[in-house]
Amino acid sequence: MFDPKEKEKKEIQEEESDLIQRLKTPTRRDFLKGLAIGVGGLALAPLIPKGTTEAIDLDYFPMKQYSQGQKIEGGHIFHDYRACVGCQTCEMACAMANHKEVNPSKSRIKIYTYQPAVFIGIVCQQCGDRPCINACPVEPDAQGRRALYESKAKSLAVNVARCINCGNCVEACKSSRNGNIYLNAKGNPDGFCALCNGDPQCVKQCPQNALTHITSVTDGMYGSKPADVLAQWAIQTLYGGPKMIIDNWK
Amino acid sequence: MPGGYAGNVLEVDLSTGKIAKKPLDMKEAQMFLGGRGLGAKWLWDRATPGGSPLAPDNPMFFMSGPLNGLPSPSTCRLNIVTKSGTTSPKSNPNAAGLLHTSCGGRFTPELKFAGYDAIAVTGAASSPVCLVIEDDKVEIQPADKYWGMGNYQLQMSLDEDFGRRWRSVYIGPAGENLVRYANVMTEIHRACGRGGGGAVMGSKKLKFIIVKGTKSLGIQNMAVWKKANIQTYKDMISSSGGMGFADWKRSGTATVLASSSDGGQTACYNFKEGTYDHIDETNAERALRDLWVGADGCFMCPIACMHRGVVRSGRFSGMTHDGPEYEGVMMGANCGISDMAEWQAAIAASDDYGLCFISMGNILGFLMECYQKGVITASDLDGIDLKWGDVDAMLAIQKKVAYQEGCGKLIGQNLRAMVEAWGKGCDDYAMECKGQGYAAWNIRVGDTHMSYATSSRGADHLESGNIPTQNLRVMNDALGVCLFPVISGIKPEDLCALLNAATGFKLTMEDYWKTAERVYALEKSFNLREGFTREDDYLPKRAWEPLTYGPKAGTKLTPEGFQKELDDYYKGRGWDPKTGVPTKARIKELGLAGIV
Repeated sequence: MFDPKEKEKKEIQEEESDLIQRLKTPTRRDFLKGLAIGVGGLALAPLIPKGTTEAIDLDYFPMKQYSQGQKIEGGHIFHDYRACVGCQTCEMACAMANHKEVNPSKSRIKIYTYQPAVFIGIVCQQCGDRPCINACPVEPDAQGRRALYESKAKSLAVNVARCINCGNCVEACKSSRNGNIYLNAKGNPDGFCALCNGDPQCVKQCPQNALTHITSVTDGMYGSKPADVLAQWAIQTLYGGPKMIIDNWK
Repeated sequence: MPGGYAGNVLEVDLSTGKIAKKPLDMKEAQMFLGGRGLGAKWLWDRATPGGSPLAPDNPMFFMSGPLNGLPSPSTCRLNIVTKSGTTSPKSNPNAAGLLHTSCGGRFTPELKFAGYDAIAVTGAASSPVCLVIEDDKVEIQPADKYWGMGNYQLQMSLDEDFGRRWRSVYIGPAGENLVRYANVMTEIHRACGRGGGGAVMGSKKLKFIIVKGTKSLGIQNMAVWKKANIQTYKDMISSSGGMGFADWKRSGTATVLASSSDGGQTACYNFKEGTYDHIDETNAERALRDLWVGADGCFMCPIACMHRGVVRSGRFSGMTHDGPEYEGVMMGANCGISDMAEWQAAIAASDDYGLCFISMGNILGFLMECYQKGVITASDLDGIDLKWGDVDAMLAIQKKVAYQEGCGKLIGQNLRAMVEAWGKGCDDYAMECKGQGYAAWNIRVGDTHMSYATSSRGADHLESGNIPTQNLRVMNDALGVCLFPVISGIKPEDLCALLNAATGFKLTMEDYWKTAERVYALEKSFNLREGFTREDDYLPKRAWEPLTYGPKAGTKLTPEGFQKELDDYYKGRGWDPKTGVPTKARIKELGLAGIV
């Protein structure tokens, strides 16, 4: 019985060891055959139809470094609202990989729906200027780390033992960025993206190629907008402004 | 917590306002799985034989299946099972057949994440109400504020008032006004169509159900699940050819608009023809170039067959819509519409009112033919000049139907009611079976006519005309997995393996197909109990008229041939060929003894 509360990674890793092996040293052919494999809780083939794979691979996929067996240190996840269809596969992949649960509400990437239909993905943008870390009142330790800090993999991390549950980081993200951080049941910051150690599962499993792991980070002012703002942009881009189903016939 | 299932059923009595959470009967679940299957069992147990579908004692089941919400392709379908607002036996217009109707979207997974496999709604409220579910907190709240809203406005209001991660199902004005082919809708364009589920919900004064869930689902054997899941994805993605994965992903069901017309299978001019003379202006390629801005996918669906579109020029400029899809033909070719934007406007109107655009398009085609042949005049239609392809007239009729004004009162029932009221031989043009209007596949070519004649919910294009495919479709609906990925490559063996891995059942393929037979026999038995007979499995007179245009000109069916096919069908099912009643031996074999 798969019990979500029992987060044992052991069995799953053994099961996938040969697949992980292939992921680590993939040949280009492996990828083209459609055999990139999820590492976390679940394995999905990349969802690209046979025959068209090569064409997509050439002009778009180089951005997906994992396809060439490379892992990216740092960077951030970019969500393309033109391509997203709102299927929540990324949420499921994230929840399975990071929480070992079939539970999209625990996902660290969240898709919000707006009308006329646009889908906005909100995920930690790993802002270069880190307003969340700057808001942390805990004194830096010997390595210069506050309770919330940038990990070796250049993604956001939290030291639960030192966290004083003040919620300043949540406020900072909410007021100046996209507001993906929240306090979990234990009062610790949660919901931010740890980039799956350089191999984000949501990016890998997105069937529409709407997610990309981009190598660089911005200072956050451009990419890290709240969902409401991004939705306005998306509606402008896709529909040419807020339109209605009943425009012109009622 | 049993794997796959959430393990609880929500019982809501709107008359008394009582809400109860009951454990799911796992024995029953193993026998009927879920969705359409389990819903049929519950309806058999709880419906009043011969009772009206709009009476408070008609229970309405919002069902999920054991695979809903799990991480495999397209585990998104909602099934509603209740008494149909549309179908009735010829012998007794007050009785009603079984209705199972499904839609995609994100509602059912969310319901399971909130901890419920199904909602059973009984009784009727005295004033408009809604059902708000947030994990264990379930409330019946007043919904006067939302009553009367069109679907677009309602979805916007719910997004604002509750949040953008709440999922809802609702009815539009058509459901509130008890139009007999009103839909239960979700996300504006997705519909539990055919058969008037919206009218049943409207009769209970239930405007919407909204849900948000934060719980987890279990999978019994994760290692086995993963193997089965990889196989499932592979089977789907590696499909090729006509309606393979790539086709589905690009244009969805609209892909077949052109091929269906070429094959003489499209419903044109009220089913008179099978090949549409304006297909060049109304096909998927045109939509790709001129209308669509992106796709819209259901929960976990890699195909995303539905599209988002906006009309960019002309008098409907700025109108958003989801079309065209194949079944949109009912509002297009069937009514003689040749302009893409006008076509989308007619469909969008139905979506906003919460009407079933298949049934509405069928009725509009019928009205247009009656009008052309002089059976009815403008005075029967409150002065509307209903010529072939006149979109303004179509919009006007739809409004009258949705708000039940003037001629809309009669048109808002079903074809049989209009035939009875107008007579003059107009039953020649009425394309219906069991009271349910035909959908967008014409009947002279292929075996679609058997689907229309034998389906338990009346003339239905999704059932298919042969027994193995019918069984396949039953299992989709029972498991909560969409039909389209299965058409595009997922094998029943994959679904059976996923089911076993998730729930811990040990179903062989033989058991799997037997479950489908069991559900079908139960649905048939339900309809028999309501008074349906072999005489209710019929084809309309138009089936015997030959097509006159296109590559399949001259093709027609014959009454003798159809009766023979029906005999064979009953025999294949193990039912009495003379009456269509499942034999005692068959009932016993399927494990339904003591139930039916």
